[in-house]
Amino acid sequence: MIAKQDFIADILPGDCLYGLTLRSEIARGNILSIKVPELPSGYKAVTAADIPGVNYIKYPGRMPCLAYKKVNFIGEPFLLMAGKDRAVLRELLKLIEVEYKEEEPFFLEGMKDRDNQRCRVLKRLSFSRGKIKESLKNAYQIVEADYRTVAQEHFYADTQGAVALWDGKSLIIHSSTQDPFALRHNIAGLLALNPRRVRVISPTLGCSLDGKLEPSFMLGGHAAFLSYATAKPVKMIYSREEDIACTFKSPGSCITHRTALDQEGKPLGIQVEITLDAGAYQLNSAHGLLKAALSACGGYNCPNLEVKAQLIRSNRVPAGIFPGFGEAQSFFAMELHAARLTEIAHEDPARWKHRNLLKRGDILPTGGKIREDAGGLPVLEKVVAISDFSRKHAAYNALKNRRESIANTRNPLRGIGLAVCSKGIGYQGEDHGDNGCTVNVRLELDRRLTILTSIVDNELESSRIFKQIAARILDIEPEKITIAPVDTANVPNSGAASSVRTLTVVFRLLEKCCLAIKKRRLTSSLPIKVRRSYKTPEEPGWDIESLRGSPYREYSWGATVLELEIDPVTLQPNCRGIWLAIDTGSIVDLLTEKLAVRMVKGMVIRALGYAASVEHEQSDLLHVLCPDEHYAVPGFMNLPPIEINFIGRGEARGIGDLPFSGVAPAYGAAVSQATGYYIDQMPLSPGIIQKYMEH
Amino acid sequence: MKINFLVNKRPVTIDGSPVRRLVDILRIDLRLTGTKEGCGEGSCGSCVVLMNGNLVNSCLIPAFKLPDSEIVTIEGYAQSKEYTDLKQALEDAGAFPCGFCSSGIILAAGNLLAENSSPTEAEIREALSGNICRCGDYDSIIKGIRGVTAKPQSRRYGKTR
Repeated sequence: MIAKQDFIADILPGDCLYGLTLRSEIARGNILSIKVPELPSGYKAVTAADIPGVNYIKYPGRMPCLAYKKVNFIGEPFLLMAGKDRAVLRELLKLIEVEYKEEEPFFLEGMKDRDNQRCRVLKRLSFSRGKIKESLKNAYQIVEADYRTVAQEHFYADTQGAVALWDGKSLIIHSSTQDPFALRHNIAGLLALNPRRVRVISPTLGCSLDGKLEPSFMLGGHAAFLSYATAKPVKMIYSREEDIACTFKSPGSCITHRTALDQEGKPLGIQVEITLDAGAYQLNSAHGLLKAALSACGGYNCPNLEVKAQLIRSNRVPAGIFPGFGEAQSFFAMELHAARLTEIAHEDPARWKHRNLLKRGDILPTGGKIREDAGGLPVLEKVVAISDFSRKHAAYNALKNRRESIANTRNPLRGIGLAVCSKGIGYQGEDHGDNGCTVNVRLELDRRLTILTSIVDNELESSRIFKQIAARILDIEPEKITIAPVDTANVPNSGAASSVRTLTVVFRLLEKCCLAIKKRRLTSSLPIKVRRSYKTPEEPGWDIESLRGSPYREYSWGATVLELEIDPVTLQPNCRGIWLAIDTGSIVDLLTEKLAVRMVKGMVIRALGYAASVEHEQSDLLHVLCPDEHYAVPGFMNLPPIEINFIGRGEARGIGDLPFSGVAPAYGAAVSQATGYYIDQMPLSPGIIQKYMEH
Repeated sequence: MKINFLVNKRPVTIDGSPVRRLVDILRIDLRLTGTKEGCGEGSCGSCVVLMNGNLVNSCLIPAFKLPDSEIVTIEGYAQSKEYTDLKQALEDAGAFPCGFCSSGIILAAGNLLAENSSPTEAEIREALSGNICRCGDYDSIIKGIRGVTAKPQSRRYGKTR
């Protein structure tokens, strides 16, 4: 309960120096000179020129660990300084004189920027089915709209940090990382060391996951480099302000939907153009682009479709792995577009979705077939029933229609939104970390059991579930089971921690290990050591080159209803309730319903924080931000009631990012109904709602 | 600048800048790392401690405000019977999956229970309005706090005046 020496910031070795980072104040340009004043004894500054190995982090794309001469975003690090006193370090950093030659930066801030000459396309994807041109030509009506989302903050609990200890031969680093082996590989490259001479220890990670990947490699690399350069232990902890301003975010997006409708409002053809903003450097964004493209048409069935997606480079903070990476952006656009289509058709959104959602045997946009029982229909029916959606939607429409104008009303503006989303599980294309994922289990001489994995997911209470699984299979008391600390010197590489991987790979590998021990327990002498690795099944059903077939092994489905009211004077939205129905297989049996509900609620509050936060101008990011903008996540006073209903069908699959994909479009659709304006962007602060009313 | 004050009933003397933050003094100088720093700007409640019996965000308290004060951190509060009851009730309710916010929330809840032995849900929400749990575990926390309300709460720990 009292977390002592658990989180990264709590680790403080003796004789430890602190490290701080000097960052670019311009979005794009060249560093002409850096003048470092004479430093007091015990203080040292280093730049990219001092790095002994390769100056980049790789995951799987590359970016400089420290910028060398050229900077590409505000906040890009280019100098590190270590010393005993953080206050002195801060003063010394202020004395460093940096001369820049500024170039005009590029930001993706709207649809028009896609045609900007400085907009550099990094990757393009496209696929189509049926006869899209013919469907547009023969349409009774074509509905076209643009949708935009900006970069999203992670809002994780504990701060990012690293503590590095170089002893002249090898390096030990404590890091708040989700992927200790990838960090080890990056540090070894940076310092030109054999990876075996780098040992990564990961302390307790707070919730939420996905924010401790790329930033941990940058920060870990910086701490390791400073320790190497000073031959002293070095601790680096980001303040929340530095973290929010300068570390990786979700990718921003601009998405155009063009839908051909028949006379009854049924889609004949869907055409989608996606532009995803990788920021200044491309690390994992190409995978985000693929996920965005595969989700472009949402969960809907349409005989004719065309999807074009491009990843562009801008001078924003780089995009990193994020819950709903690419998918959330696509579902936001598709579900808000669907809300617009139903509004035009004067139809109940629930009925419209019921008519058009993919069903068993339907063809996916890429040509594969839906294998699950019924796609998104069960979650749609469930969430509509528990939220009383259709009645409320009709009632709020009647209220809106009776209202003369927002300016003349004193009553709250009421709205309710509905979104249905899916999450592909088990990608069938190139490996994204599952392949080779390994778990070791040892039955010791004293009949105690030790589980060794590099994934211990605090959010999922994986330690407790590891023990439950092993205790059930081997009939051992949980007290006799130990989870080995995450230390690359002792545990195998189980890939990056993520709740989907833990659920769909690590738990299953652990089961296999325990079953193997059970089989050998009476015939082999102790200790018994078992190792199991995951191999991605080779399924011929997906062709990555042509983007044809079934890209995922299976899907989880989620439906979200969000009800809100908006103060007619302040335009402040106040969420009154959220209902979710989720189909992720028999997850409740594995996790317990309480834990599964808690996981979903955690994601819902972060998604709500994003939906209601204030968009930052890039140029403001290095300046002091208002506390309310930092901590937009709901607290005890303003968290709305959340009802979650799990529908278990088949083997447990990942909950994944369903709440992230569903909350934002449901929020947008509710604001749209409450105000009577088509919403096409996220986040939605009162200031943004005011702009809708003005224009 | 030399400053004398009490931390968990023990006299402490620190010598340093008058604008150093209490959270740094507790965590770095005194190694009382149960107090966490979440946001550094008084928004999240992870660094909450009791100062003269009142809840404060230690990231917002400069050293010059400390002379003759009495500070109780989670390590000090953990010596009390109230803490044991509260901890048990919260654990029974399955609260705090990651634990980062726990010390601030426990101190805020303990402070509430010292003044109001059977708070309503609305009173609990108001008392904890300065704390954020990013795991979203609010319902379990409220359930846990309500779990101790049947038991008598004797005094406000650390209150000296």
